Amino acid sequence: MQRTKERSDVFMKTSFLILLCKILRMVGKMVGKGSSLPGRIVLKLDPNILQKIKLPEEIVAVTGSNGKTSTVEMIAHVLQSNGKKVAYNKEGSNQIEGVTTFLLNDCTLGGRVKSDIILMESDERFARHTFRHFTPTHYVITNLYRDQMTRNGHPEWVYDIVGESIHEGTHLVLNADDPLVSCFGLGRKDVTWFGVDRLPFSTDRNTSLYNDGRYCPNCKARMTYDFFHYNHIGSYHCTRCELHRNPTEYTVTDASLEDSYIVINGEYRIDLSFSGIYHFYNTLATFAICNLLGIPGEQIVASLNRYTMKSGRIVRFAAGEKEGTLLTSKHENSISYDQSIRVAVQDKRDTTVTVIVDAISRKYYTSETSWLWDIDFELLAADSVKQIILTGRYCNDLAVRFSYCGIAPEKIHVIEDIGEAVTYMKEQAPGYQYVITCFSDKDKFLEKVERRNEE
Amino acid sequence: MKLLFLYYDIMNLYGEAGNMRVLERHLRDQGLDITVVGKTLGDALDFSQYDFIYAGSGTERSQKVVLHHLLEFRDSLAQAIQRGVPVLFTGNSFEMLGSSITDAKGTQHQALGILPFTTTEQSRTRFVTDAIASCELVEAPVVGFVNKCSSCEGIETPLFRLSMGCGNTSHTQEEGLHYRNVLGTHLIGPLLVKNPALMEWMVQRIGERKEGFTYTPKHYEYEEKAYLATYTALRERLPDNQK
Repeated sequence: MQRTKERSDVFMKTSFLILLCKILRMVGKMVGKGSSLPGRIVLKLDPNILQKIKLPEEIVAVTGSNGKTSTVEMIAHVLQSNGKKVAYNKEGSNQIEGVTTFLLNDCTLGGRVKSDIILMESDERFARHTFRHFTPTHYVITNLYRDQMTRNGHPEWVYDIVGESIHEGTHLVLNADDPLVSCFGLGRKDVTWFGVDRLPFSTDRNTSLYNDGRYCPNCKARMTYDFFHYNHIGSYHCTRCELHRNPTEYTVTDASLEDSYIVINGEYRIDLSFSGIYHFYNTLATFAICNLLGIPGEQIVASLNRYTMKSGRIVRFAAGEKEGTLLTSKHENSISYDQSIRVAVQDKRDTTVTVIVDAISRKYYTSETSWLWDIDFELLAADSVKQIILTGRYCNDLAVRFSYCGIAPEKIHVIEDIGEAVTYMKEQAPGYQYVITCFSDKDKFLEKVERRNEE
Repeated sequence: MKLLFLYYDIMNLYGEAGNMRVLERHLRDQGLDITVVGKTLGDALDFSQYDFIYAGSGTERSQKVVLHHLLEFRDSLAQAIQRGVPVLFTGNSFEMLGSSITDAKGTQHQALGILPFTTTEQSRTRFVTDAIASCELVEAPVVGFVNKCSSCEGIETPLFRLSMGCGNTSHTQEEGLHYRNVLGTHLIGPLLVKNPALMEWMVQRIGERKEGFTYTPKHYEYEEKAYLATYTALRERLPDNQK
């Protein structure tokens, strides 16, 4: 009798907390609050709440330095357009509190998650806390780069933390072209590898300013590369230990940056609404996991063809008479900058490139600008780039860095105030406009120009 | 003059190549003839050839591999230090100068033993913080960022006194080490780029090694403005009584 009562108390309490979470989320939405607070409150009341709800059979987690949000958005889109009910944290609330909010929100009061599949964007540093409560059936790891090192330490530090979040019984879906990510597969059998074959844009040498693939992440001996796609992403093997690029089950066998398409496994062509190598990888990872979850290749292609991202990383704008594109990058992440710079210099028209560094993060404060020395700004010495505008609080740090790029000083305009920089752009900046900046700073620019559409 | 960028391709975690790029130009601006030499794992090292020696930060695992390599050339480095060659080690590279480094698993790695201190790493907390420091070398406060997981015990001659940041151990405001012309610090930035005064000090120390050198003061507008922007932003975050 006593035990039954206890059990029903537990049940009551869980139901109550689910209801509380739903109400808090509803109120939060009305007053425009973020999604982590309801989860935080519920976790205070019951730290083990996530172990008490009934989860669906498939739980997919996605982590990595770059491309998490885009990949999760595309996976959700493919699954939903193929009739699956998907619960996912679409607001990028990828820490334990946000995950709790979105899971409880999707629960019946009886404590059963209603969706067929849970899809989570998982913060690489917090996964070990989240996955204490439940274990993903599939774990997609896109890449590990130098990223937000002011809180992440460095890639190997993050590697160790992500490693703690990998449990027995989880099927790993790994980027074979990233040597550090590949280390997760050492000695494991339940791994699906994805990667990109040698293509016209691949290079024999690492062309970026540093090479984190120079030494093996497993044993620190020299590594040898057959080719690079960008930075340390490519085909490699260690000269001493067994680490090498694994044969891939899901492979981009053909692709074109100019015509924006990829072909997977020689037969599935996907036309992309935006070009870029990193977007190829995100699309490939999406294809791999959706196919593993049982969606046939043709149907994935149908869902992904010309799919336009909702997360709005690429924004077209007009500044007075000038047309332009804002390429959202990540401060403290040289690879994301390198990618944006490549997009800008691929354009052979006359261009002006504006770089904004004002708030280094929107989540925390720092003055740390050492990452500017890892970015290949030297590429902007291209003839097509007629002028460069550097703006924001850290424009002088940018100006120091740019004085080492082989760019004629008269091309470079340092204007601290973003408003004045926009005025200059409208009146004097030649050609098509590219703006490269972070989430933390992009609205400071976009509010001063006219937005076109988003891709 | 020859500058050595030691382990340029592995101890380079926090944009630290910037230190060498800017230093090289500033020395040239003084009319000096400068060659930068990069050496790394697998290379033989002879420290008697250089007028300046630099190394930066690496991952904890990289640092152990580098240490193992550097141990073979320990005496050559110790002699250069005793002769007063300017040396700058930023990040965890300076930990190698001590007697040992104990990693997060508890394994003790014998270090160079050039200076009497020990380092202990752990894997739970990363100490990450902006920093403001003062030192005897220059008048201007020094700015930077600390990114480490270690603490250093037994340093008797620290380089900095911090008003913001994380010291050699959790219970001290003392940071880094200073011995003869060796500067060791966990402050990154890159340190010399972010701090024009410290850069000037270093240029003078290196320049002085050439007979007949006289230092010509030069202004670097953007470096000075960048320093002020960072220092002002950081100072705002100090408690009122420390501003």
